[in-house]
Amino acid sequence: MASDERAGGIVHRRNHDVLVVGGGIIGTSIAYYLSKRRIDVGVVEKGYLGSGCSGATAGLVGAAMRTPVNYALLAERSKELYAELSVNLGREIHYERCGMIWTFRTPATLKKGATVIQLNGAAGIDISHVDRAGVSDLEPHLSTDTILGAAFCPTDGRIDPFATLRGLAAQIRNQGGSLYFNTRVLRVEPGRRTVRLVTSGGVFEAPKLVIAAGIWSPLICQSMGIGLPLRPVRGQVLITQRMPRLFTHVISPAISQCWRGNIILGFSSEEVGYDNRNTFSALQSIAADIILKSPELRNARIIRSFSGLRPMPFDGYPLLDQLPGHRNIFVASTHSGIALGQAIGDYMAQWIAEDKKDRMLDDYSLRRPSLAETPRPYRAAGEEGYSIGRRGGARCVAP
Amino acid sequence: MPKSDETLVICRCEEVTKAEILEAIREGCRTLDEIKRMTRAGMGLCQGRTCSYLISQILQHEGVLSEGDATPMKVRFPLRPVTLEAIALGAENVTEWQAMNEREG
Repeated sequence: MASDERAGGIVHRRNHDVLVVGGGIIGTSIAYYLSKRRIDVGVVEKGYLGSGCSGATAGLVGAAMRTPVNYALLAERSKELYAELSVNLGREIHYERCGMIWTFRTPATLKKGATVIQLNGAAGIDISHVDRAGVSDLEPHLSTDTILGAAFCPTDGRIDPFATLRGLAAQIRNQGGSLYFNTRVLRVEPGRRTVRLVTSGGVFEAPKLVIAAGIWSPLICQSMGIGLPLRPVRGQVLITQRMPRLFTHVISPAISQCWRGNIILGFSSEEVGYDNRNTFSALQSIAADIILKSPELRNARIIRSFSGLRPMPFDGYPLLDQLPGHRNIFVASTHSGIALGQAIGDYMAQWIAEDKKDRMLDDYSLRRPSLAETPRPYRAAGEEGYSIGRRGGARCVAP
Repeated sequence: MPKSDETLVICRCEEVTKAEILEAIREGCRTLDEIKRMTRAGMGLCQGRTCSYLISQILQHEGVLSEGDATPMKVRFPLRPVTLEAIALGAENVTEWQAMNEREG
């Protein structure tokens, strides 16, 4: 029976077959595919549905331009599952295969892009090179002055992340699972047969545990004396009011006009710890960059900024594995959760429920050597603070 | 059978009705920020200025909150709509920014 519980005091809670910590796209997707396999699943979330990075995203679902090829194919699998999801959930998730464009503005990126196009194309991904005129045809409102070339994938696109999370949560309940919000994990007590989750809302027990808590996964693992090679990388975003249709495709990384008409603009990549504030420096830079790319957007009215902390593993690739020494505790955390979420959900659910680990998960072991390397740091986007008094930026908005 | 006032539009900017807000509350939403995300109420031009109080009244009426307990929706820049150009004034490091975008994609 489904129940979402909010309670103070330490009480013994209903037991489940599998507990999932994290109510974002990864946690709810895994829980959805587990409950689809008739597993009694409980999702434990310290905030509300999508209160982490999954609620601060542009909702992009893309496979092309990912390397290596297996990583792109993982995203392709996710696209396949998204295509069925509205029907399976009985809810509209606004999955649009609107297409995605990557522009190259330097000889170096053009060359690198050509290599990726060739590698991905050879693996059957629908990606092709487009020249400057072709970009103009695809997106007349993009300025092509500085574009040397571009990559185009007609089947990449986007979802509405909130509608998707809401639909997944509802179906988890329909399929007998439960979601517990405002329930923070205080500590994990591992055990060979039973894992005990001590939370702010009581004690849960289950034979198996999944840690899908995004940037909070390392802290949960730390409580078990295990280091997880993942840190937050902030992405800041601007969003316009609803506007007449200007852009059809997603223009990576930066311009996506969603189904409602708002245009999402971004993004930064900054390593600032667990700080999800917005900064003038980053927002100004985004704004100036977008105006260069599409001058007619200069008069677009911005109604909101927001900021998400991407769960970024040290080598940039998902962490999908059992914890060392704990065959019944799994971790599933990554950036690009929206894009990869359905494939991760299904493959992890299969592994957890049926003890069958798909080969697609092989590359995402916690033991891979690339995780031991020191990650290249993402710099903060300039200094924080109100910088309108400084005039150095005037040249960036020349008409 | 919906009550007669459930077709009332609570969020004028995004045209969200009372029925949709009640549905979100039934699904477990307890705060303005949650209702905003699940229904889009508060995501429009006025960013919740018109509907926040109405939604908090609905939450109280449904017994979810005591009077005055509603946490306001989180406020972020800008406080009122501003043009992209107005924000861009003062941007100093666009080339560095573009280099980062090209690198990170």
